Amino acid sequence: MNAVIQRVRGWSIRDAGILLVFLALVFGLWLVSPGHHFLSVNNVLLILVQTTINGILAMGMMFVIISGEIDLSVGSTIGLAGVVAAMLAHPGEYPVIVPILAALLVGALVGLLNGIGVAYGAIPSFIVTLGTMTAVRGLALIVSGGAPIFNVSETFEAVASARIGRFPVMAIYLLVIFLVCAFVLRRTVYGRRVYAVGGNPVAAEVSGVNVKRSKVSVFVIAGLLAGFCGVLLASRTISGAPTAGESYELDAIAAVVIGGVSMSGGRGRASGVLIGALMIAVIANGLDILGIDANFQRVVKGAIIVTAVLLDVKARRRK
Amino acid sequence: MRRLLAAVGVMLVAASLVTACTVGDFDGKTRIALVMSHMTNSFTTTVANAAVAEGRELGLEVTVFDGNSDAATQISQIESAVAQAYDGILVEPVSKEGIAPGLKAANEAQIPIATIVQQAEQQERAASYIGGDDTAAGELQMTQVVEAIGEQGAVAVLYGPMGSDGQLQRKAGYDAVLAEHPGVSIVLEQTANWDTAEALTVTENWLSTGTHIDAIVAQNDSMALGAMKALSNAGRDKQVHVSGVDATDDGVASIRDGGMAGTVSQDTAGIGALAVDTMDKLIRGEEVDAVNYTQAVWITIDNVDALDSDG
Repeated sequence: MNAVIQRVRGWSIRDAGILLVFLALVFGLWLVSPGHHFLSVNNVLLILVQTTINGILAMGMMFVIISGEIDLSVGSTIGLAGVVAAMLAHPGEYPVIVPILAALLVGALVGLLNGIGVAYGAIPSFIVTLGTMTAVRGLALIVSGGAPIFNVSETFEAVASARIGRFPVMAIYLLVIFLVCAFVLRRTVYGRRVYAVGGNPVAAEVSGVNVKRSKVSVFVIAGLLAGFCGVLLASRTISGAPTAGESYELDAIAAVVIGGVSMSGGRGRASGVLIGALMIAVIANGLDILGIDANFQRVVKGAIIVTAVLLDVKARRRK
Repeated sequence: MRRLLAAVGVMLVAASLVTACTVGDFDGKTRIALVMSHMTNSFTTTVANAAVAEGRELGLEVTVFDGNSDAATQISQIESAVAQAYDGILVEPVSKEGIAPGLKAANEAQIPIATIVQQAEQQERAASYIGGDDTAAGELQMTQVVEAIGEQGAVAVLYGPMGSDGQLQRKAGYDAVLAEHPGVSIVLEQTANWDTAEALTVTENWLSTGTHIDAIVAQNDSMALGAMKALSNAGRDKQVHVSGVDATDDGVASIRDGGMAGTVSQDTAGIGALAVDTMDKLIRGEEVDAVNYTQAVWITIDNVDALDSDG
């Protein structure tokens, strides 16, 4: 019981704030959607599916940002991992686990490279990942020959589109990965180290945390999850497009920021990030349903990002 | 020591870049620079590959430059092609207005330059245009769609990036056809920026509203495939007529499998080959037409096998 109270107290005004904004948005869209269709079971499941890729990507980004860094390369990693997965997923060639593992390996390698560059090369993560973002996108185009890879097996297609009853398996991936990330961050020594490294790297070092190794590990997590997103996107679109995932890193960063993770590191929680990702999907879904054009959606998304950070700054001043 | 190594490394890379650019063969071969907007989808790679192949056939050397979807990059590439005294320049403009300085540079050096796929705003500065007619492609697509749904019904349209030339011209073609068929109306429309994943999401959201749709008209095949996937996820792929433009390999494969109903082929490979033919004539001082349209053809399951494999 005490633990529960503790947890509730742990929620700052700002965490509750973002939840309220989210609920208000959902309520508003429910009110104005034709026939209150927005909250139909089907549409809610659809929103979960549409949140999944950005949500998983944002979980990886969260580790990186909490440790005080940034990863711009995850969108390109999705492209390369998706191409590699699709190339290994033609019908009758390999069991479906092969393309999945290959994509995860690609993602982890990109992450490792980022991590080594940041931790041991002492290059700012913005620069390292800007470099890998460009290079990895180039690799995706080279490997694929500049055109989407299609003709994937039905088993590979099922990775993203399978359903258990009515419940889409995509949403299960999101929920499982969210729960694991939340647990690791809040309840493990490793998670506490990530916060420590982002909050005050010098203090962390002094108290015996291997800062360099921690930094490498967060980039590997981000890369691994981006690799998995590559599989999901290729499976969902039944093709590995070398241009897939372009600017996805920005949506992931947006979800993390809306979710209340501090861009300067050391602060933030997985539940906030999940709400941030849901918020982005809800905006797109809701405005599509209302028939509002996509250019307007960008304006709304931008306004919400800035508002979220504004709330963050205000809440911190109050402390 | 470390710094020295780094500096040497940087210089080596720089040197290799410079030599890669300047060691063209001056063995008397006619050299054509093909400046593409980007090389990231089947359409552009098919055009470029066909151009290079046609060049080999004619004994010309065609070098492809990737403009990276950036008008400024493209201008620099045209300028360096001029500086390296290429015999002719073919350009697929990133944007209509954006390549004006490039056209001017080529004009001043008296090197023939022609546009492909998309005309420039200052098309009079170019010697010729080779490519499809997007308005005609849009008209053909919508005419076929209207006929397929019995001149009566609700259509949803997936657009390319709003305001891009392909989007505007293909839409102009749609509008011309719809003006004559009041029974058919556009009930939903949204951009999916030529992208499969975006089209998939938009179509899912459309289907979620329960709005009745007879046909989804996508402005390219990538988006049509996204729409197709959303429909088949919802078990409605047999009920809605889906079509695209470009006849890309995956689009054609979908038609063959009974997925997409149709696509407009603008003879993608033909554009690349015709462009090199035309430039060859220009270099040899022959007269060419100011506009060379490739033929738009409606591809369905009935004639898909007649299509060239490189279609």
